Amino acid sequence: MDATTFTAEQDKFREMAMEFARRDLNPGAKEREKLGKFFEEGWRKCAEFGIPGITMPEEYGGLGLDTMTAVATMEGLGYACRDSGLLFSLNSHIWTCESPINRFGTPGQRRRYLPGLISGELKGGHAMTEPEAGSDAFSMRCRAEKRGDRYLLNGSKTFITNAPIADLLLVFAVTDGSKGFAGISAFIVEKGFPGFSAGRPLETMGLRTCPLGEVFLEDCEVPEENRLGAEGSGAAIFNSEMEWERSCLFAAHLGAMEKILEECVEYARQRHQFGRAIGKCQSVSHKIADMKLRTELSRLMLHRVAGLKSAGRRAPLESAMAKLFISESYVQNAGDALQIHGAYGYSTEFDFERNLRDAIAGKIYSGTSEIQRNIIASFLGL
Amino acid sequence: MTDYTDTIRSFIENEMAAPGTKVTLSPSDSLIDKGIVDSLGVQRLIAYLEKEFGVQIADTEIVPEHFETISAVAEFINFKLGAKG
Repeated sequence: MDATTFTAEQDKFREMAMEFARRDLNPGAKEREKLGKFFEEGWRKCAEFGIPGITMPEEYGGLGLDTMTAVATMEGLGYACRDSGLLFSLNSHIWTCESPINRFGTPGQRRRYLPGLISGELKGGHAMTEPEAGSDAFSMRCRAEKRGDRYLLNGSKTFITNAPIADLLLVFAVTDGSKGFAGISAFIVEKGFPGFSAGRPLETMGLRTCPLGEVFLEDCEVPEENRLGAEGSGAAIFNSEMEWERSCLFAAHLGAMEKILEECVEYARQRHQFGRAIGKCQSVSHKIADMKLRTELSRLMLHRVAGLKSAGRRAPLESAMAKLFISESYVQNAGDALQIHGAYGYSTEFDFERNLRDAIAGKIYSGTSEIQRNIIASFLGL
Repeated sequence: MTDYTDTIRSFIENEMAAPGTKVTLSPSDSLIDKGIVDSLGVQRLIAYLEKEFGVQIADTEIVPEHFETISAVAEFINFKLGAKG
């Protein structure tokens, strides 16, 4: 692996994350994936390792480190961890719940929720997508009506990461139906609030160990003090979340791409057909050369956007471009790796087919590839 | 205090309206009701304001009151420039 943009300390975090994943997260990963089983003990160990608190303030139990350190850690985990669902679950917890509470929360909200989210005692996520509002997220139907000192939330959400295991979710709902995207607000909803329920876990093609499910809100009572940010700031909170997620989560994809590339090079050197190493065939070596190119370009894009976020800069365009390029490159590289390994790649005995199934999710979550292109086009004035 | 209404209006009318359409906005027109600023557009508007006026806008400041009309945007920019000193 080569990551020259990291400092020695950040590189150390990446190495430690790799060792940690091999030792504590990989045992039993294949069986869990087959069963679609969330790794509760792995979650606890990740929390002990400090992963949910890397960039969180020390006063709440976090490590108070910079964004690039979080990216380095995610790269290391993506490289070595075979439980991609657990990584996705953790990333959703961090970027769509913990991080927005830290940035938009009142001191009281931060005191109440951050220590538990950082220690891993609480699991979080966010609830945006609805059955009729996917890419057109702001056309949501879920309503929040003010009643005295509380809101009553009504509606349903679907494909919500961590919903079956979450202790709290950041729920987005319409508070003013006349204002479109500017009439949406965000609420911190605890699983014990009256009127809140989570549905059965949904089965998915990849990331199978990450619990995904529906959420039902039936006159769900949310105290006013649990509104995150001002009324109408839901879209800004959501956009900010997505920018952070696109800037950091995809480091795990980069790590996985690095690992896949190394495995392909090794295989192409060792595997002989027609009397020579298959790496001597241009049909294979050119494929691997393109995989290397996509991996290095992904690194440049990711580190650039993470650097911008680390410096406190806004990066909506850059994060959309990085997310689009990395997620599509990961699918391409995972598919090429499977092809290079032939029947071994197709076999469930090895990780190549799982990598491909996991990779495809990246083109859908955190805004589909099509939405990223919309963002890019919008910044071009189109 | 400088009035930036015309500068901001020029950007919004020329760059944010649907391509190929000519719009004329009054300072009090609702940018949201007229569909000029949507969830993607607001990000582009913020990027423009940060670059044009050399201000940094926090995520917590992206609330409808600051972006509902051209007047509101101009007032917000004056506030930001005042705070910047």
